[in-house]
Amino acid sequence: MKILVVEDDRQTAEYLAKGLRQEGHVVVVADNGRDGLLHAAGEKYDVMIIDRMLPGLDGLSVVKTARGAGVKTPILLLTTLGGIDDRVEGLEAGGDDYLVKPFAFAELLARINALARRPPMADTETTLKVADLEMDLLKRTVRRAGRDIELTPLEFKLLEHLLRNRSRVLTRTMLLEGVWGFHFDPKTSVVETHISRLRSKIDKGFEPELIHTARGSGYILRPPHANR
Amino acid sequence: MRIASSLIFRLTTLYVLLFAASVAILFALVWLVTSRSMLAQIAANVEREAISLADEYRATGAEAAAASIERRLQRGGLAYYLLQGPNGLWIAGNIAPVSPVLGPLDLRVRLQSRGQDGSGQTAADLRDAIGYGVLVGDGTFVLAGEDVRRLEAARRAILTAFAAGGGMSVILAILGGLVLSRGFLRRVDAVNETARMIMAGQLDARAAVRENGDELDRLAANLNAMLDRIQSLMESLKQISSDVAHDLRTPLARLRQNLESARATAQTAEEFRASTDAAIGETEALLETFSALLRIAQIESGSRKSGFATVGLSELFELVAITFAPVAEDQGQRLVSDIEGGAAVSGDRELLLQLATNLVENAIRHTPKGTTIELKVRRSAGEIVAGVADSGPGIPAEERAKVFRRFYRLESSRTTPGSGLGLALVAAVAELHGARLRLLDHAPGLVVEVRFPEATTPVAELAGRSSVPDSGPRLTKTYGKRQAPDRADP
Repeated sequence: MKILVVEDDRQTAEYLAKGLRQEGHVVVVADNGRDGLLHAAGEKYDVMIIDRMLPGLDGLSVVKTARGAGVKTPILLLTTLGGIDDRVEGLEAGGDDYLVKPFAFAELLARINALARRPPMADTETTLKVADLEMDLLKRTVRRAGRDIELTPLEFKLLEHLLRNRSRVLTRTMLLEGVWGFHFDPKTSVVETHISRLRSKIDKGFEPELIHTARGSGYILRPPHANR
Repeated sequence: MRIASSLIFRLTTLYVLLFAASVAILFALVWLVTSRSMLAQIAANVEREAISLADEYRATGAEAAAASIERRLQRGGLAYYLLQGPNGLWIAGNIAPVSPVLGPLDLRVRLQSRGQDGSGQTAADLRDAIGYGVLVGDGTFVLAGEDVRRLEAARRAILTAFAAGGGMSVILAILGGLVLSRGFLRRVDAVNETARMIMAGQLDARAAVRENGDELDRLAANLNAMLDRIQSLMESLKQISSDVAHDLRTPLARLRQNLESARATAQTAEEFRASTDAAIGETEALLETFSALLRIAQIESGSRKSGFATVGLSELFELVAITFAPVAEDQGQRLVSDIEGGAAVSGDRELLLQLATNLVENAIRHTPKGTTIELKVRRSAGEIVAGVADSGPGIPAEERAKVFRRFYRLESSRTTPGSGLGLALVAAVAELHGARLRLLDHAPGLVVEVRFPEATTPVAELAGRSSVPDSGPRLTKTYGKRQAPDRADP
């Protein structure tokens, strides 16, 4: 993927660029808002990572201006503030996701992967299917290998989220945000507990396993024989 | 300069001006009324005298009238009379002949000694008078007059009285103004002095408050209350800074140990990784503490209030209940809920979610196996009472007030991982929502109760704040289904 990083802190920018290049991405770095905006508007990127606090033109303005100019590239905003209001502001300005610094690199990677491959909104789908696992969104039923599986509403929602993001690593934080709407870190193992219950229902006694624990700190639901 | 700008001077001047103005108005009124009434009285007198003399002349002739004038002159006073023949000759009276004028008149008379013809008079014998002239049929002229000296004397008396009275009033006004404004300003100065003492570092100085509760006392009392609040805030700030320093020292020390052992003693890649992982773990705990502190500070700043909307608290607690029930179960605890539907408060959904989560996680983390944890929401007389109760060991009564403080940890939970900020955040969120937070004895166990004012507007779309488009509404929907058992699994 071709990724634009707009970040004024050199150490952070280098850390990001190095990590992303190791993952096989092409990285362009801009160290201020104006240059960032020029890059964003002038070239085609798969994902843009933009820091909120930038000299010259701040991150939110870059996002707003780029969106105003018709740039549709997914944008991940970064902030150090850890503020609760910032996320809403960032998303309202046209950002697609939001990450608070400092973060684990795996978290960033999972999020840009999710952003880059975000499919067009498939709300019209009524069935989600991976291998022999089938979810009917209208009847709200789940079947695997022809057998009905009973799920609680929360498990259903968790599985739906995994299915919609199949073959993609979802971190704990992403699941908390996506499934529960929690924008904070619980102290207890909420995600692990619910994933383990879901696994015991949809994977236990079936072959092959569909829900995997990803290296780092996430989960992935993928069909057998698919890479990643 | 200094004097002119002082409040004492200005107040006193104002006093003096007010007093002087009222004295002047009073003086003008007395002067006018007295002058008028005296003038009217004199005019009536002289008219009566002139007419009566004219009547006597007509009835009894010139001789008798002259005798009557003599008699009247004997009585003394400042009266003037003139009986003057048709030819303008003096017949009787004490003034020199004049050209006849009828009716009331102001005149300047020349005194006439009896028997003399009026020659050889000096200017000093000219007198101002008010007179009344009557012409009898045959051309004889009768004039009665009265000197205006009486009026002038009265006027002088009034002027003197008012000058003296006015002078005394001004002196009184100055004194009164000084006394009153100095008394007032002395109390203002006392407040100023308090402020100066505080600026000089004596932070516990307070303004004196008297018993009578007037405006100045209320000012002083409010000032004191403000100072108390500031002082308590400063103390808590000081407390926080020292707590932060203290609480961060331990993890920082451990971080250093990990890094040192990585450098000094790690022999294999495996050992090296273990030390580095431990260091990252410590760093994460530190960052978490920082972000919790920032979050609490942000909540306490009140900026989130602008985004308040009606939040369905029943639905929110239901979500927390089904989220944490399996977690509790895995720990050998039981989580049950008793949630009355339809309870809504005005607030911030995300913060309320965190409040509920923190309370439940607190119960899960600090109670042993076999504990029952209950989530409750009920409506009660305009209030929403939300609570988390457990049957665990509880908190001793004397410790209860302290657990909402940042970094405060009970002796029994020192070994449990955690920042000691969970309940501080709960307290901040409750405060932001105008909710009352209480810890009660559950005998055995603990009840944390939050009493919210009930929202006045109904719950709007719950999807609002969620960043994931499909999260909000559907959860609510499945939620409704959950309340009727088995519907979720047809």
